[in-house]
Amino acid sequence: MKFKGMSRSHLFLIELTVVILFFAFASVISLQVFSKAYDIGNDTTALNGAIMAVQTAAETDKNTPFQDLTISQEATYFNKDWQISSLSDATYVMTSAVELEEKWAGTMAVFDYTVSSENEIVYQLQTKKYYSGETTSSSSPSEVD
Amino acid sequence: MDHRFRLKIGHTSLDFIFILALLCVFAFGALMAVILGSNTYKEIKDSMDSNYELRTPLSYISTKIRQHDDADSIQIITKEGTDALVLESLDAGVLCQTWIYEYNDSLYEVYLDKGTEFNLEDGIAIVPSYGLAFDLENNLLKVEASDHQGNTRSLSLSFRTDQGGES
Repeated sequence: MKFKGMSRSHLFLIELTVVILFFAFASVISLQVFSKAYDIGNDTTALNGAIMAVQTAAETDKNTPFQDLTISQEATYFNKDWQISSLSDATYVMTSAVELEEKWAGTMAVFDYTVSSENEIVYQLQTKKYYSGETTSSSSPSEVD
Repeated sequence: MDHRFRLKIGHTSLDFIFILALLCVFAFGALMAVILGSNTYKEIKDSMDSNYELRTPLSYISTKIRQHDDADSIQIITKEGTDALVLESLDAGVLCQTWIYEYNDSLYEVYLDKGTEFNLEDGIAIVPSYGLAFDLENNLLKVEASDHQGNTRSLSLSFRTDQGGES
């Protein structure tokens, strides 16, 4: 087949340009997908680490006697590998807070845990433990500002 | 005539070079996309493997602990130089033990009557495990798991009943 005014090299050039455009379009979509998958992978790792850290803190608090409870908001810092670190090396921050609710036959301790990374919340958990026969007036837990 | 011929040759060479350059751009772009894609895939796979290797043994042990949380039924015993978590239960009137330990890069479990002699290789491999440590203190069991890259995660479990085991 002959095209008037077009050599074979021109046709090949047009074909190649179309292929490159198509490839560039496909590449952009692929890179976006790769980037999203990478972010999701990182989010999953962070969520796993956060769940472990919060579960450990919750289990430790659950094991704490009523008299040793401190009504305060505490922050624990973790590095990117989820090892406890200083504030300067911290990638994640876990804040834990305890509130005591007086009940008719005891006290309900409400523990709130929040893990965040760069002001973005990774995981949140609220747990409760009922201390039967314990009241804040009878044996007050220490308060820390 | 000579002049026209030379022009034609020059024009054809320019086309050829341009097409070749485009082909090179195409090949380079394809190579970069493949390299980037494979790197991303590798990182995602490593991350997923790490999550699996850290999370699964800890979740498995956590579930087992919850199932066997009776008074003085959980202890840590060292056998053949390996720390094992031993969970006792009364099944059909017989005192049985479940031993959970790491052996041969796997989490092993063996279930037997209390007092039965066994070797570590007699157990069943449950999930991959590349480092497992137990510490029982103040009624709080600390379990530390490692993945094949050396990353560690620890999980503490408090018992609902008193445990007299020692670490």
